[in-house]
Amino acid sequence: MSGGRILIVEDEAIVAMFIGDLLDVLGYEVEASVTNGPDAVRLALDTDPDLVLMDINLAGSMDGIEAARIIREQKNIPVVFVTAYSDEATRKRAEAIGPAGYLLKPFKQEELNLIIDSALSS
Amino acid sequence: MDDRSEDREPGVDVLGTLAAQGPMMDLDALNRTLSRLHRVTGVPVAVCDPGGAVLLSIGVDNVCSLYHEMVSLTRGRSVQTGPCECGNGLNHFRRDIMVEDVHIATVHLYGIRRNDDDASLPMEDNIDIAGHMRKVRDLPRLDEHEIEDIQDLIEDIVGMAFTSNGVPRSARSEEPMLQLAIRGARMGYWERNLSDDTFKVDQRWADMLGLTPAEGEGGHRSFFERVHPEDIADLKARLESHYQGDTPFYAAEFRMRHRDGDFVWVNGMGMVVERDRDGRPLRMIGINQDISSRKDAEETVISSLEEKTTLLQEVHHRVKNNLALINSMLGMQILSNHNEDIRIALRDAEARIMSMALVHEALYRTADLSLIRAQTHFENLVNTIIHGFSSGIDIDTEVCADDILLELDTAIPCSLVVNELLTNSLKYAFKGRSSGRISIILQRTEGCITLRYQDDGQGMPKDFDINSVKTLGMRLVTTIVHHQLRGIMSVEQGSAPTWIVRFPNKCSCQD
Repeated sequence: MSGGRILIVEDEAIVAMFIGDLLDVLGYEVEASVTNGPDAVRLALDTDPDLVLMDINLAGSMDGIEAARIIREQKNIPVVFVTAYSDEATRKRAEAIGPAGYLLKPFKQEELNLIIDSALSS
Repeated sequence: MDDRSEDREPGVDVLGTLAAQGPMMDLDALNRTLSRLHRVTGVPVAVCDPGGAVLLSIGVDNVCSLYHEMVSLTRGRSVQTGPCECGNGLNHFRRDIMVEDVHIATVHLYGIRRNDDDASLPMEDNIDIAGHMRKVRDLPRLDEHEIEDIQDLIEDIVGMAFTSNGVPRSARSEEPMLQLAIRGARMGYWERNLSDDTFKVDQRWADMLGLTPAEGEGGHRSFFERVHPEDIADLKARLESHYQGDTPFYAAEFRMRHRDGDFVWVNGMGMVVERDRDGRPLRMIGINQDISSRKDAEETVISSLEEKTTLLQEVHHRVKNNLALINSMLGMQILSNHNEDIRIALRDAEARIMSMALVHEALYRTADLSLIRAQTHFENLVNTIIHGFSSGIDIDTEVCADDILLELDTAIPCSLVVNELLTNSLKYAFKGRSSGRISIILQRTEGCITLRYQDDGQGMPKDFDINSVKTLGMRLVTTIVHHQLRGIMSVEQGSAPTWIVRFPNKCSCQD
């Protein structure tokens, strides 16, 4: 039985693939994996996943924070940011949309597991 | 003759007028020099200001006073109140003295041209020609070249005594030298009278803003109308602070509007030179200096620095991203491999990469992108490794690094050493236990940093020798310590063995 349907938003293919593999091992279902903001918004609103794992630095004019803001304005889907950006300004922008978590890359399997657990249970 | 200066007292009002206009001269020095010249040449000379007022005359009275006594038309006037142009029959040679294109004075010579005796005869009928001629008999007879030479010489002398902004060049006292310094530094002078709200400036102050001195003058309000709106508050605060006596002088950098609409960066300095009995400021003087070029250069440097900071930040970000990518690949390898030995080896590699990534992470978050705080970094590193190891053992940690800062090329090897020692402890030290303690202490000592790593685990075998250990982890530690950190390492055996690594402190901001 699936622990939850998760949408992966990540423009680095290998990282997206690794997250997908990890989620599979951890017992989650990957709803889809997309690489840009507009696709993330469309799929999140269409498929209503249990959680979105959102990279911040995405190709195109819409970054992950903006995509998450649009999603969260319309649906109460928890978003966990998974990013290499840790500067104060980015964090503040991200925190403004009320994310369920903020995971810094590179991360370990256990860290991802914990943050997903926490996001889905809250 | 000039009647514009009839009421002036010679050499006093004139100087006052000149001071107000800007140009001044050292009259005493000029008088001494021209007197000597007169004694040598015998040529009468008078120096007048641009308005025609006589500043000084030498030898002119001798030839004019008698004539004035005799001629009703000019009686009552003298060369002391105007240039002698009374038609006494002498030849009059006039030359305007210019300094930096400014007419500062006129020099009048009186003499007799050689072979021009008629010119020296009075034109009036009722004068004592013989008496007059006795007076002029001793005057030199000069040809035109000699007259020109004397005019050139006097022009040089007078020119040296004047400057265009009120500083006598021949002056040697402290105050004029200071004014010369102000001029040399391309500063403009200003004076503010707070009691009647007037503001006076010199030519150079006005030049900075493309104005005439008269346009630059005015009261408090007209001055602040020229100041950039963003700079007014700070400027007023600094002035007020000085008025209140909180600062010994006023100094501010601010922008002022040029006539052409652009803003000029100005460094203004000054001080109150007169206060009333209650300490309220009455008069203030100071200078302004155009610092636009310096500000432009500063902006270029700041902009360049910001650009480099952004680039460096991006480099750290990309390095970290690439390390994340490598870890993702290792992670997938771990997930797809069922051989426990291989999985452990891959996890070790993953932890090493994580240690390096954390350094870039820490650097990325620092302001100067070059130094990281050891205390925060090692706390983060220890927590990440312990958390990722999932040993199930409750580990109590102590990290103490004082205020040590580490550079990139020290932080990464140091982190790798700690990673190996910590991983080693987590793997082997606490076997069969539910809890343990790990301590990491960094200290600065005599240009070196000493890292002391200790766990309270089962300890080393009694015959443990660092150099004989062949595991990859220990080989990495010894290689990094000796070849990268250029340090030494030892192990203190005991109930809680301690690894001691000592290496040179490269960070110049410490020790």
